[in-house]
Amino acid sequence: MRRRVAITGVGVVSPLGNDVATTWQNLLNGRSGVDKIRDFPTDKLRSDIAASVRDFDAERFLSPKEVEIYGRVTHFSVAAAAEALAQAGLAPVHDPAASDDEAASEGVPTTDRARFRYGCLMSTGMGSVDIFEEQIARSAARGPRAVSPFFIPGVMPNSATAVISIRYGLMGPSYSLASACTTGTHSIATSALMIESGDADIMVAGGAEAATRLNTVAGFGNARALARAVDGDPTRASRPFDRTRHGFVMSEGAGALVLEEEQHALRRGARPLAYVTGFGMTTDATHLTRPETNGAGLAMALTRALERAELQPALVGYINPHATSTPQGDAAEVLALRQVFGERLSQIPISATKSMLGHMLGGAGAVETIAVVCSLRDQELHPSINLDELDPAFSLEVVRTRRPVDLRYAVKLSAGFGGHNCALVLERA
Amino acid sequence: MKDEAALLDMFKTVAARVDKRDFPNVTMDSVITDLGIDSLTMMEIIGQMETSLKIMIPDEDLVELSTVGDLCRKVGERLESVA
Repeated sequence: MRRRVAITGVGVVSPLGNDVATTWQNLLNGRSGVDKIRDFPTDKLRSDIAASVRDFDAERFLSPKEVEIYGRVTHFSVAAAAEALAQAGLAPVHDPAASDDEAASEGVPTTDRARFRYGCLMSTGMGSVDIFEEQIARSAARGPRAVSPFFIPGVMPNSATAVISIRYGLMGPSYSLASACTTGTHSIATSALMIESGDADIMVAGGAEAATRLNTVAGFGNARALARAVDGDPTRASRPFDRTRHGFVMSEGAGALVLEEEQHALRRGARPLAYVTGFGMTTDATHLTRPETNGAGLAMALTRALERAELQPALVGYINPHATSTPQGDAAEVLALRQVFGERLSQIPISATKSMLGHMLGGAGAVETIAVVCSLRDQELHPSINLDELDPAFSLEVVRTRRPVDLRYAVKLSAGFGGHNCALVLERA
Repeated sequence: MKDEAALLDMFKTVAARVDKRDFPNVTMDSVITDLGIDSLTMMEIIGQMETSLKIMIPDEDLVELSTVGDLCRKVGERLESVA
């Protein structure tokens, strides 16, 4: 019998709230997290808007020294994982208030061999851009000897996974992966695979990003990928599936999920919130940044996910798409969905989380999957905002205001720079 | 030229800044690892002392650092050779 993958905890840091409950309520109510960039001068940039996390206190989760060493993306990752693990009933083996030196010297209870089956796959698409910028500026101003010895542990993309593993005594497989905007979804799929295959009983999985910095906004902007405010209103910039969509909005935050083998969860008395029953991963292998125009790769990822879940496409009750609000990306995705669902696509409720949260890059897939988990748990769908006029080429049932549903199966799609596609099938608990 | 007491004070100040905690009971005989200071933290402390004193301690001098006094004496030697 196949080992079944339950989700027993979720955690979020986002521009719409620094926990799952706040973020989910704001999503249900159609609130936008997009605003003017206030953290650095934007006068020379092509886009001056982003969705930013506000009022986040990293010292609730990390020692002052850790806050200084690690980048914002690691702060978010640890915070989201802490929320998810607390919900799953898994306590830290070290006091988060203690310094990392004390934590490292204590060591985890190695007699608990079960911990070799607890792993972590918290990833980021871009890494600690802030630490890179700071340390390179230091070197430029004062020479290479001024570079901190903590530069390397600070910027390594696996720093969050390492910190979480130490704090929670996760001694099984742990690393991070990177696939741009598919990073979070890939991390969930790969973790589910590890649990199904029997290599792990618990995986802390997800993704994060905090890359809204002068040079990254410049890079995406110069690539003509970013949306601008509409009639001076930043909240109207991210408009997936709309006829006038013209780019994505950079966002930041983190999403973490505790994936757990079902029997393991039930034995500990942990309550499944939903199940990951299928996943599929493919690659366009055509162009570095442009999605394959016919959507064939994304369609195959979804087909594989449905096959793995042994689920007929006709039973899917909700689609949470990648939907970044770029002209090409949304068009390719609708073609992909059409290949899988056929005529019935126009009857399946669909809503784009990015219409409100913007594009969290490496964190997007994880936070959006958590939105699907909330829908399965609460039997309610969040809307897609800024759909003033559906692109006439699309035939979709876009959810425009929050809606109660009888939902058993939902799918989540992600696609990223590099041509990486990943799809998930989730089932109500 | 700084005396050993001044260097010890300096060590405490820099260590507190780098490791974000106080070191009230440090003496010249304190063993660095017993203070919970790991190797990277120590390198940052030494780097900051080098910068503010405008000295450079050769790597080979850092191999056998065990106590805070060992470090302060190495720093003192460098200051004398500069003077």
